[in-house]
Formats: sequence, C-alpha cells, structure tokens
Amino acid sequence: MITAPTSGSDRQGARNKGLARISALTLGAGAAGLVGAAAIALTLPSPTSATNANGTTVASNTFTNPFTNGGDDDSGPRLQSGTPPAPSFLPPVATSGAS
Amino acid sequence: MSTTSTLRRTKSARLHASAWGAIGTTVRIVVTDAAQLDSARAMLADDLAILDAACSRFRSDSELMQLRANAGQPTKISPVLAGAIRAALRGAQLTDGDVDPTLGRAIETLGYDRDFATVPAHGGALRVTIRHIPRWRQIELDEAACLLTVPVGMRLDLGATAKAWAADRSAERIAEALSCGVLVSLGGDIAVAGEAPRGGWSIRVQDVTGDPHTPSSGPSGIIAIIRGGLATSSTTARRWQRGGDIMHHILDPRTGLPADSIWRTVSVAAGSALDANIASTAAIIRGHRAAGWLAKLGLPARLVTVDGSVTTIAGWPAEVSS
Repeated sequence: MITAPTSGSDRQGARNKGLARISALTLGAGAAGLVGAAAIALTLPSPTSATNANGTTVASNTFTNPFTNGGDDDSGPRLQSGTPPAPSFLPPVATSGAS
Repeated sequence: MSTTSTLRRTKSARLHASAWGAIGTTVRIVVTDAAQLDSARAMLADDLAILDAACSRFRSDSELMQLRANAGQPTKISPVLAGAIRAALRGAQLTDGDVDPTLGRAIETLGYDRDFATVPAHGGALRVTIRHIPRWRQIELDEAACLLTVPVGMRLDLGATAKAWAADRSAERIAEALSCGVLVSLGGDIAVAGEAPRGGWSIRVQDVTGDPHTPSSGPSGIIAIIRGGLATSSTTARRWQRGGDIMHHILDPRTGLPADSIWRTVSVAAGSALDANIASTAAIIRGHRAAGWLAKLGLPARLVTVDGSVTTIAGWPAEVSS
C-alpha cells in the first residue's frame, strides 16, 4: 500500500519542525549578530503555497510499483538482507565510509 | 592519480587492488586473480564513464541535465539513466520518501551545485524556504520503453543511490566476464560478486572512506562479507558552511535542509550495495527510529552517534579494532 505523499499531518509536522528550527536558528542568529555574523534566513511557505509546492496531486504513473511502503508495513517486498557480515582479523582490502 | 597494489593476507590468498578518482569520489577495485586486474579496472572505468555521462548533475552535457530542456514531456533516455532512476525510485518507495531523488534544487540552493571539490568551504548566509519535498511520485518512468517524464521545475539528484547501483552492476558484470572474485567500491558503497576469497572480503567501516592501509581517525571496525553489499552514510563528509551554519549532503526531504540526526555515521550490510545504501541513508534521516526499523528488516547495521558511541544491531559482529 502506498500512502498519500503528503498528508495534512505530515505537512503540519514539517511546518512545526521548520518552526522549531527557525526558533533555534533565530536564537543563533541573535547571538551571531553580536559578532556581525549572519545565520541562514528561513522562510516558510504559506499553507496555500505549501500545498502547491507539495504537489498532493499524484501524476498517473507508468512506473509500476513493485514495492511496498517502506515504513512499518510488514507486507510485500522490502530491502533485501544478505549474509550477515562476520568478524574479521584480516587486513582490510577496502574501507566503507562517507566520501 | 591511481595506485595498484597486491594485498598480502596472512590467512588467505593474495588479493589485487587498484584505486583512482572518478565520478567525484574514490574508486577501488579488488580482484582475486592478479591476471585479471587490468581488465577489471578497464571495465569498471568504462562503466563509470557511461554512468557519469548519464547521471552527473555537474556536467551540462549529461543526460540528466539535458532533461531540463524537456521538462514535463516524455523523453527518451538511455538504459543506464533509466536503471539509475529506477534504483532511486526503489529507494524512495522502500523508505516512504526518506531517500528522495527530487532534492536537486534543494541541494543546489544550499550551495552544493558543482563537483564537491570546487564547492567553496565557506559562504554567505542563505535564504531558504522550508518545504516538504516528496515529489518523487510525480516522476513517470517507463523503463521498458526508456521514457521518462520529469515535472517542470523538478531537479533530480541521483547521488544517494546511483553509486551503489553502479557498484552492484559493475561487480556482477566484471565477475561474470572475468570469472574471478570482485569487490567494487565507489566512495565506500561496496558490492562484491563472484567467489569470495577465503575469510571473505575484509572491510573497515569508518566515518570517511579512505585508504585501507591508513588507520581511521575515528571509531572503526573490521568485518568481512562474502556476497551482497555494504554501504556507509555519514554526515562527517561533504560538509561546508554558509552564514556560519554547517551544511552536509544528506538532506531531509521534509525540510530540504541537512538532516539533523542523532547519527553521524550508519553502515548497513544488505543483499546489494543499493539496498545497503538506501537503508544507511534512510537511517540518518530517521534518527531515533532507525535502529528499530533496521532491526525489524533484519539488516545488520552499525550506527555511530554524533558523540562517537557505537551501536550494532541485527547480527552486525562485535567490533575488532583496526
């Protein structure tokens, strides 16, 4: 099952999170202002423009969905697990990290 | 600059490696048969040149950039770009949009609009609009016909999944063609194929991908895999500042801003490098919910908090210090 991409609660949550960030950054900006630095200035779209920007209308999609909700849904295909890694005492031949 | 080396292993046969820079990251190939190293390297280099021409958002002549001229219209694309976009949509769908390929404009706005090596480390303050950006469902892909429609105004960034997808694809192709064991690492997104060496492919997980002969400066551990893939996502690399705020390349689609995560680094082992990458990237975005989600999926993972504390789940082995 695929849920709507942007429910009202999702949007409200995002806006709330945005507001929280703004509060934090506003405090930071105030402090930074004492030394002449400027933090990121953030603006929130109005509810109307947010709705437009979020595009709640889902386009007809020729991409056939073979996957399921990747959240907490137990049904259907999911990310594929493999053979679990094992401890190694051998010298590494590669590293995995951000790049 | 490139390097080629024979790796001495105390408990197994020697392995043979070559490393160089491409697609804006470090490329490394390791094979079990020394006689095949040059051929394997050449095959991988060819694959990456094709990938770059299809998917780069830093080349005006790439297929991805050319799509902008046809926004809103069905456009014929190459099988490589179609495959990369399908991989990106897999990521979006299996994570409920936490890994989203439509963040191209957001990452450009934050200053990452060119090859990262040339992104200024510092810059002035930004004015950004916080907005939920889960527009991936508006992408129309007919993979069989190689037709893609991208809505007007949408800019794709395939960086989260394309390297991992390419690593899987090249490792399989090279192992099959050369009949040897192969490890392909594209910036730390690692795929292995063919017969693994005795003891498996020994890999050190750490914050930032580097030379395996150089010890990591942060917390690290060594594990071995025999098939599938391994990926690490981290907020400790590709960082820059704007107006005194630290930016990184993993954006939260709910805001279009760098994810404010409790995890600085997450490594996941999975059936493919692509799925490992999708899971590790989503884990950074999901924060507190990530460990439970990964455990429920049975994906072995190693999660490092911002302060360096390590949590391992779902069968990830206890760490052996490097």
